[in-house]
Amino acid sequence: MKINGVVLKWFAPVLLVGLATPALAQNEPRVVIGDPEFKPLPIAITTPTGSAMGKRIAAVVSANLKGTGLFRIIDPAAFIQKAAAASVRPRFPDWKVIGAEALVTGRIRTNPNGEIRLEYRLWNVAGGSQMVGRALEGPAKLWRRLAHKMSDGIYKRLTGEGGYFDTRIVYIAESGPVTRRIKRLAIMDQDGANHRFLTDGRHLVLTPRFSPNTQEITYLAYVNSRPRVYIYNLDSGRREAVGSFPGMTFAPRFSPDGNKIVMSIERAGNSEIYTMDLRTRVTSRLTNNPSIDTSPSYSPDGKRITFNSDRSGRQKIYVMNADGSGVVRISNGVGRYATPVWSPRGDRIAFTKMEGGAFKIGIMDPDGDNEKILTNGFLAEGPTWAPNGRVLMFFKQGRGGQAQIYTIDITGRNEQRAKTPASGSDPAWSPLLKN
Amino acid sequence: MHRGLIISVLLHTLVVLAFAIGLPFVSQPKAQRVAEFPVEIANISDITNPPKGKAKAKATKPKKARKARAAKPVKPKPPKAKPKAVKKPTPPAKKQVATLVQPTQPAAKPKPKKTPPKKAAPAKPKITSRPTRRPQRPVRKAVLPKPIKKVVKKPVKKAAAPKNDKAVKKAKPKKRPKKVAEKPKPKPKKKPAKKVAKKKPVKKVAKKTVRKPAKKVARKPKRKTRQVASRKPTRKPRRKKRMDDIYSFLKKKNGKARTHQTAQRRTERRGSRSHRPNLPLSISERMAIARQIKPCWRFPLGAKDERTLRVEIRVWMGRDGKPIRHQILDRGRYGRDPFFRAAADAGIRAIYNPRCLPIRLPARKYDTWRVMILDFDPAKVSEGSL
Repeated sequence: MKINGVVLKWFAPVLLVGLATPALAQNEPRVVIGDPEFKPLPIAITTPTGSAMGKRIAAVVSANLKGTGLFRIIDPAAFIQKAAAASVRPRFPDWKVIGAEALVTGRIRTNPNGEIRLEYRLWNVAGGSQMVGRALEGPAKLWRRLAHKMSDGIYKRLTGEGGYFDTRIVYIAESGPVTRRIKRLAIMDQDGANHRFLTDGRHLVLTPRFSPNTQEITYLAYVNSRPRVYIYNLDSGRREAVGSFPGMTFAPRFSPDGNKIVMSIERAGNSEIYTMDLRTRVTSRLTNNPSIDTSPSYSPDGKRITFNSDRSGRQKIYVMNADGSGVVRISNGVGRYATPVWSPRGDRIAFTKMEGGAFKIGIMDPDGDNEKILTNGFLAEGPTWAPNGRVLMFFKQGRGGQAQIYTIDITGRNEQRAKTPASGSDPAWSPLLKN
Repeated sequence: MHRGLIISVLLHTLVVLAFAIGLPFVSQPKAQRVAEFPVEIANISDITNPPKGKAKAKATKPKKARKARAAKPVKPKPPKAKPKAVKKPTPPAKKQVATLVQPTQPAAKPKPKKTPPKKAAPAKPKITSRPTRRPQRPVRKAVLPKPIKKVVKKPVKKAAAPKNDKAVKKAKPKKRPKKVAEKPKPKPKKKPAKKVAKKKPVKKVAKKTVRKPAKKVARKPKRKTRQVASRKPTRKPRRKKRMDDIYSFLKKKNGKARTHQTAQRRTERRGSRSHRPNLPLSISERMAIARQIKPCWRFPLGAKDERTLRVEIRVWMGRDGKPIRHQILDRGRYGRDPFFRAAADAGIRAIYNPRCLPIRLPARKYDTWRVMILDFDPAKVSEGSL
């Protein structure tokens, strides 16, 4: 009897709660909110206190976030609470009033070793809670990189994506008349700062690509009227030809681990895809077809390669295993497809499409589904992915105009011209810089 | 020849007739396809759920609304009428009493104003019940300010001037009520004062006060003693009475009563017994909620596998339509998946965004939407959009 009593006393309520909970959950009304629309997030970025450098850092962060198209930067003139006070403890109602949904505060200190320490916090205004709190340290002369890293941190927390602000762009800078065009290899930060030329323009250069370690660039150069693939080391400034092949080599690209280069080699009028191990210098032929196979690009896991070929009679996009097996055509639309590039996220392949006398930049799933054209123009070509796989860079040229570099979000919004000192083409986006 | 010709003609005519008459039946015309036109679906609920009645629903707003409705037709100052009515009643009553006290005292004979409270104690309840009523009358009069003043002034003058027996009798009842207000006192004399106060037309007041005092004084006190015994009677029944009085007054004044409205109010007051507070939200109500929140939802479009970033948030709502707290159902994924976390944060920001608050929801169904799950699903269309 006692046992029964104890059982009833202690387990009956548990049972009742257990039985009632699902019933209660079922009774809760469920409201589905779907079909999201694009709306930029209003964000307030205060000037980091403690140093005159704070203003410049805030300007860089604001420009970075604004450039994504995902954020609406609130005019600092509208701020009610001052930055100094906000960096201690934000008064959230003051930020709600001006419509901010996220708030960035920060402060700068100088370490005893002369480096600066940038502390920043990202606040959720609606909930009144801190979302990110981080400190960055580095030499004062690298304040722009600190600002870029700060932008990356904010971007990542609010979108879930990795940032792409602390990156560089290598591209072909063009100058001179059309008949005697000078093409030089140039590099700059993603926002156009720290621009410099890597080659002097004596040789024609094309299709530069970053290596995964970001310290090397592979590209095609016509040296002594012979096209060959080269590797340029950014630290040492040295240039090295990749292998020695009887025919023409072109369209090089690094493998994700940086140990191989995949490229096209033309022999007797037939171009095939090869890989070369940079450590052993051993080459492997991946395709064997009388048609033109070119523009290879590794998937981020290194297990597959996408390329374009005219083996079906027209230029189409194909995917094969990294050893050359299992070739599958994935583009089935009308028109010619070229320059496929696998997204660093692995979920999309960007391409150039020629149709109806126009060039188009588009994306599709690795199986060819969900093809989406993002932009078009008289000449639009050479897509390259931002390291987060969310933004594309490409170049566009009007009829008789100069080639310019542009960026666009994979949603098709926010097409913007990249800042370059002169005309530019063939851009390549680096991975996130290390350290 | 002729026979053959005739037969041929007949057969041909038959064939022609068959085509002319029979063909329309053989080949029935196809139904004409009418272009589709959109149909707007109104409030869709599986079960009809009439609104709560007054008895069950203590939602303050409806009551106030009713009061306001009742007050408006009477006279101006509708918004201030309620608060004033509650506060002011006592002072005006005292004033009235003060003016009437002097004449009544002699008639009352026995008890001077400063009657000892202890002796009056047994009578207190009766008396106190009256003063409590009095303040209520002024409440009505506060709504109808003018009549009150008139009532107060005129009777006093008339009563004081003649000093006849009648006048004295009239005056007496009026004074006692005052004493009651100040201190306990006899039952009977108050009632007349009430009536005087009630009846707005000045002329009639004098007559009525003369006639009725004795009778009513005799009847009502007993009832009041009961009320007093229960101490502090609740105001609701009185309010109801007041409301009824106002309605009757309006009916008389306007001649034709607005039967429809009054009937509606009655049903509201009495309440629909068939109301079921736990009925689920209708489609249109859920749709309205989605429509209000969606403008504040800034989903990070373009994320990897964005269609899988479905975030369910349980929200506890206050009666004011603002969220009190929330709970993300998939806490595990929130901790490990940065894309999901960003999507969940976007949902939370939408819920708390002051630009989309308060969420307008039917107050009578508060029990239903007090806790609800908001399902932010980029792969679906919003509630009721299809």
